Amino acid sequence: MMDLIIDIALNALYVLLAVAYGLLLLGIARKINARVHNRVGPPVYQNFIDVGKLLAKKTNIRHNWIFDLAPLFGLAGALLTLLYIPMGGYRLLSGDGDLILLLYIMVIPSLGMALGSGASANPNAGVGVMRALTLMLAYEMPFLLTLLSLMIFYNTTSLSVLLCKQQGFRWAIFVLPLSALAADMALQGMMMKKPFDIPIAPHEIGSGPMVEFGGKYLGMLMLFGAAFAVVETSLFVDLFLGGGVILNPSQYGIIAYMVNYFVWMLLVLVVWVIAVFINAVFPRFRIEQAFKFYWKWPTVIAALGLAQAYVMSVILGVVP
Amino acid sequence: MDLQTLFGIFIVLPVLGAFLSYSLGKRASIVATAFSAVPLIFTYLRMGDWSQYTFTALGINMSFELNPLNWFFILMTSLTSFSALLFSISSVKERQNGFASLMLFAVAGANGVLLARDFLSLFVFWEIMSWSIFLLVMRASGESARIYMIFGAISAYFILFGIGIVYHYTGSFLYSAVGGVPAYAWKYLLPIFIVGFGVKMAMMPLHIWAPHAYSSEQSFVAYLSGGLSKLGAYGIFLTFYSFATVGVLAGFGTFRTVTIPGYALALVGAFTAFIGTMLAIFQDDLRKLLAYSSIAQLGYVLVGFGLGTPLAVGGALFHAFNHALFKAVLFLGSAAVIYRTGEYRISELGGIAYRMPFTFMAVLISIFALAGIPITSGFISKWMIYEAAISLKFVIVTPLMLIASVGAFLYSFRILYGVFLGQLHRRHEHIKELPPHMLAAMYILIVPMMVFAVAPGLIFDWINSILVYYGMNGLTYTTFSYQSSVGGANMLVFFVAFMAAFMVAMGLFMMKKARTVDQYDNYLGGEVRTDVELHAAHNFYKPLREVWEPLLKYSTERFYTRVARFFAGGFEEIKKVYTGNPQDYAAYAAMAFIVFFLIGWWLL
Amino acid sequence: MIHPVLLIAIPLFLAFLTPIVGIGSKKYARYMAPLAAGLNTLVSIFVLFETFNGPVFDILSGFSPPLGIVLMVGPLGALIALLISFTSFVVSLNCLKYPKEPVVKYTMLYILLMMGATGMVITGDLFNLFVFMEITSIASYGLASFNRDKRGYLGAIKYVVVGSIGSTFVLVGIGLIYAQLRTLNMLDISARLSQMNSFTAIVAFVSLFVGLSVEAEIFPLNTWVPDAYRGAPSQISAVFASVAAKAGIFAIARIIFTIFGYSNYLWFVVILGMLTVIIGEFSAYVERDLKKMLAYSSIAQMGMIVLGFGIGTVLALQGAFFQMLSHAIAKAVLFMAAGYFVYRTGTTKMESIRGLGRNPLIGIPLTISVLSIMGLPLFLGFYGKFYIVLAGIDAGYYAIIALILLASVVEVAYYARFLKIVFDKSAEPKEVTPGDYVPMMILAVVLVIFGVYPYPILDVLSHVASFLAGGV
Repeated sequence: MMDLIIDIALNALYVLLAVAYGLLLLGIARKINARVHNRVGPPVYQNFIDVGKLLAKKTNIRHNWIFDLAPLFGLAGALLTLLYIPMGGYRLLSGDGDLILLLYIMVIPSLGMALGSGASANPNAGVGVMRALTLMLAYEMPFLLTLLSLMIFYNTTSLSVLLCKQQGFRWAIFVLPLSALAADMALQGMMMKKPFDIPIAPHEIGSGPMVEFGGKYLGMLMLFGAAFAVVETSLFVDLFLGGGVILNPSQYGIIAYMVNYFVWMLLVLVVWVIAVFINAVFPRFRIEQAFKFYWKWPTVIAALGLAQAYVMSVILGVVP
Repeated sequence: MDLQTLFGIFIVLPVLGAFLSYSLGKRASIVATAFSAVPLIFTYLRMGDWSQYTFTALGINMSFELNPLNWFFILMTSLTSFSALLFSISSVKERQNGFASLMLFAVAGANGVLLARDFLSLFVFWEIMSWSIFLLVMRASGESARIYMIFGAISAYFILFGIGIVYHYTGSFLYSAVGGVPAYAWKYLLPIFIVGFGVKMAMMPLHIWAPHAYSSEQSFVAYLSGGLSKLGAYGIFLTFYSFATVGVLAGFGTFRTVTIPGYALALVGAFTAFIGTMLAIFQDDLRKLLAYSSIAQLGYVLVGFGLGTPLAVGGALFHAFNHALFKAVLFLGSAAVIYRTGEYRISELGGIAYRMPFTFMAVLISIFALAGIPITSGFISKWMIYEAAISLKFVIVTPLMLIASVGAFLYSFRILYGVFLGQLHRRHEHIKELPPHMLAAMYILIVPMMVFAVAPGLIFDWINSILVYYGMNGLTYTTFSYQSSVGGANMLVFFVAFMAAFMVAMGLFMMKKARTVDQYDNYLGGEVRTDVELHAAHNFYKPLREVWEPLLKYSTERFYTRVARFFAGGFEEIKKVYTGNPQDYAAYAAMAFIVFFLIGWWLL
Repeated sequence: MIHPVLLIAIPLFLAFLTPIVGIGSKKYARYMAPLAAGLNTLVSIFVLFETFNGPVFDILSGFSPPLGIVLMVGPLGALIALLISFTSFVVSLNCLKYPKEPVVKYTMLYILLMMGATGMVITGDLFNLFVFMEITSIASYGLASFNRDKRGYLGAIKYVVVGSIGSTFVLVGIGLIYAQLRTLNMLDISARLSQMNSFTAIVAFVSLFVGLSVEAEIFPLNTWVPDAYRGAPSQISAVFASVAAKAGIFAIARIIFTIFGYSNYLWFVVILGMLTVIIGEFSAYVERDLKKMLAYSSIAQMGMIVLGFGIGTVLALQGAFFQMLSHAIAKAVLFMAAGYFVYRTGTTKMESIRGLGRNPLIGIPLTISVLSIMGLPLFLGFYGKFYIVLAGIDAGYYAIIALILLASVVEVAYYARFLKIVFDKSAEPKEVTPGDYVPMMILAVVLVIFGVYPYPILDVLSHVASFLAGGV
């Protein structure tokens, strides 16, 4: 019983930390963006203030019960995803579900948001979701190919096994660099950073799906956004950078956990900052350009990566 | 249980019901529902009562059997037929007696196909099912029915040809005698049977009947797509694992432990899934969208059967079951929308969910299952097929399936947004929720989807018994979790975590109140136009469509039309034999005598 | 014991009674046709039961065979005789609604046509066969032109040309046989065939085959069919398809199996059957005239029967006989329906019959017979197609059966189109009179009853093996 409570408390702590870290990442992004654009920009903790303010205010717009699904599913799904993704080697629930499950769990919050924004009857929202889904179809092509190359090469779909096999700096990015490149390109779209911020394009369609949300709705969706910033970067870190696990917890105990967590935070930051810099200097694609782009170059690179993984695993019989 | 009971409950009873309900006029569907409920309840109670009977009819040995496989399929077909008939009590307005009795004929045919253990009964019941579908489709559109029937005939004649070959080699119609077919004959027999059964499953190059047939009365289509299309899957399963057996398949060679025919089937399935999905995305007709989605989903089933590992076959069976449920609900949902609004074009609808919330919930849950969201059992079956393909390291089949499932999100949202969300048209403001029995028809199918999502072990028990019955290894599972060789998941943990996360979100959400506004009170960049309808559902995926345009110009249907036209031209030429001139005819007679005589001279 | 000769005597008597009745009352003359056909039906049922114990021989005019004329009825012959009289009976009911002037002649010719066809089936004598064939043909010529319009005359003249060529060939064949063997009794010829010069035997066989092919609608001697069927009154087209053609094909079967027993020639018969099927189905697909379409379809169905005989196994022959029964009944329904459509619209164009079948009283029998012709189970047509295809594959005719199945897909396509037009929603259901739907319903019920429970027919067809071996 005691174990269970400790377990739940630890999980909650990790999730809380992740959300907080996500808010920080968002703040960092705003700061970097501003600096690149030669502005001062808000302080890095600005997003904490924003969320607090939004959750505390009275909400003036609510459309119907389906509209409520957006923040509910959004936040619940985001928390659920955080539970399933290994952060700094700490596995939470990832032993009870594999990569495919994670991929599908990652859809839940987006789906909730799509439902809620669709229920607002705002045409901008509909267009925004259409763009988001089209973009999703676009970037999933290379992304799924890279995932497949990893799953084939490591012969597993379990994230924990993947982390184990990458321990000791045998990171997948060194073994399958092409796949990592394609995955990073896909990541840019997944995080809807420029040049792929088409769905939320604020100047065209009033932030797309987010257009009708205000007050607590927007606050909860910001928390979801923060959590997903961590989920998406962390997914890349887990898949290609060994998840930040540099010390074996069974050898070093609690110190290993702390070091790993710190390294994971660092790696997430690196991945995030790369995306943010690209975001800062690029203009926006149109959706059909984005689609063509993703099904062309990243897909070719990912296919090459897949071919490499296939040759190494099936024909040469390399067992990592 | 004896043969009479089996035959009586599953075949005679529906046929009797058909005649009875035809004579009843407006109450036909109520009676038909009752008649279809009996086999359903009976099936459910007789789980595990496996038995086989042989008898002689028309001087031919015939056999019926209840075994885990056909029990499983009968359960899903009777479930969908029951719910379709329950729904049709109100939704079918015109000549309901004809509808109900033809439905029951189709039920009898389907049950017969499933119970049969000899080719003669298989073919007879297959054809009974086929013509009942033909007539049911004809109620809506003669042209659709014609297209269906042409493909139905192709399917039937392929099967008949296959049966003829089996009969040629074994002199018997019994399934148990198929072992007598020599291995070299399977080279012809296998494709013949696969095409024959694949038509019913709308396998890719043979799929074009589906969008037409699925545009007829939606409550019937719920049964057609949910129940009857599974018979194709059943036939392919039988062909592979009962008639041919793995030994014969492996005789064609293997590709990384998967037999070559199996690999080919998996490829066809993967392409079916991919192309079906891509076509579904661009449909504005709700019925056609669901039709293409059906085609695509059955592609997964084909992949599962093709790969042939226990995980894949189990996943395919599970997916067939899921598809029966969720696609039936979706078609019933479409029927509900048409029933209340008379409209099936997605761009003309919108906001229906605000008026029909329970219908929307049912459709939403089925769409979760369709898209493979883990809240429903639809995820688990897809997961099994993916994991099977991944563990076999197949790099063509897997990405096609995965990207198809991403595409499924696109068309799912087109339904959700275009029909149920967005702006409610003024002309639809007064529509009402469905009557309770129609909702019940939908929620009956939702229940198993949810139960098997939390406790997949329950259905794995059934699937496992099928696999064991056909000599395959079992699956690895407990009541709540399941494993493949490369991964696994625990659904109970998932649901507890999901509930916990949902509670947290709910807690945060409940802290503050919000003011509810109407649908016209929204942000439009400062412009207030209440006179314009702002439902952005017309040509929803326009950018994507523009990207795909160069590929969309190729159409299988146009290809078939062109072939048909070419042949019709040839037929015109052949018809010119009948010149209409008696002198020519006299000349024919003379020539005929000479030719007949020369051949007679040569032969005799 | 009922004498099979009654099958000829009753209609002959009634046929010549008709003018006498006609003097008194034109109205009653019309009822002679159903009366004759009904009595014949009863007699042929009794004859059918008699033949179960062995073939029935009925000696006429006092001389014993092989010198005298003899009637020779096996179970199969009795079955076909029953089929002929039964369908004539039902179609004559339909004729009552559509009287053609002059009624007396029409009724007489109708009865004579039925009598001739029955005689062709039950005779045991070659020359008698020729006589009955001539009676059938001449009655047919007369009936084919009974509409008294251009199409009717043109159809009839084509029929006359081809038909008389056929009769000549039959006569030549009979003459050759008689010249060599001095006998006309079928069994006698069969027994003494070895005494014949083999070359003459072949010429005789081919002559008979070609001559009877006209009536049996085998390619390329079926050229008269579309025009004659198109021009004749619809009820008469029904009788052509279900009575005259059946008599012709049964005569051919007797020539092949009972008299000559040429099994080498059979594969050529298969080829002929295939050509007949394919050309018939393909032409029907592109035909835009309802009655011509049915005529071409009739050709194709006859081709299936020929194919069944050509394959020449027990299963195939059973299939062929099933096909004869189902085709006769179903095609009669369709032609009667066509008659109703013509009555409603005055034309036989496909486009003009939109929505005319929407009244279930017409629609249901129509659908049943179309499904039966498509060869779907629960209807009689299933067994014919199924047995023939199965037997064909069993006998190794893979390519031919594949072509037949392809043609069947074409058949399904055009019959489905026919149903589509007939059930088109644009028109409101029209009312029908019992004179239209009762005959169609009777035949449709027969299709369903024997489709579900074929055992009586199978009992009769169990004699196919002895027929195949040269029996009666």
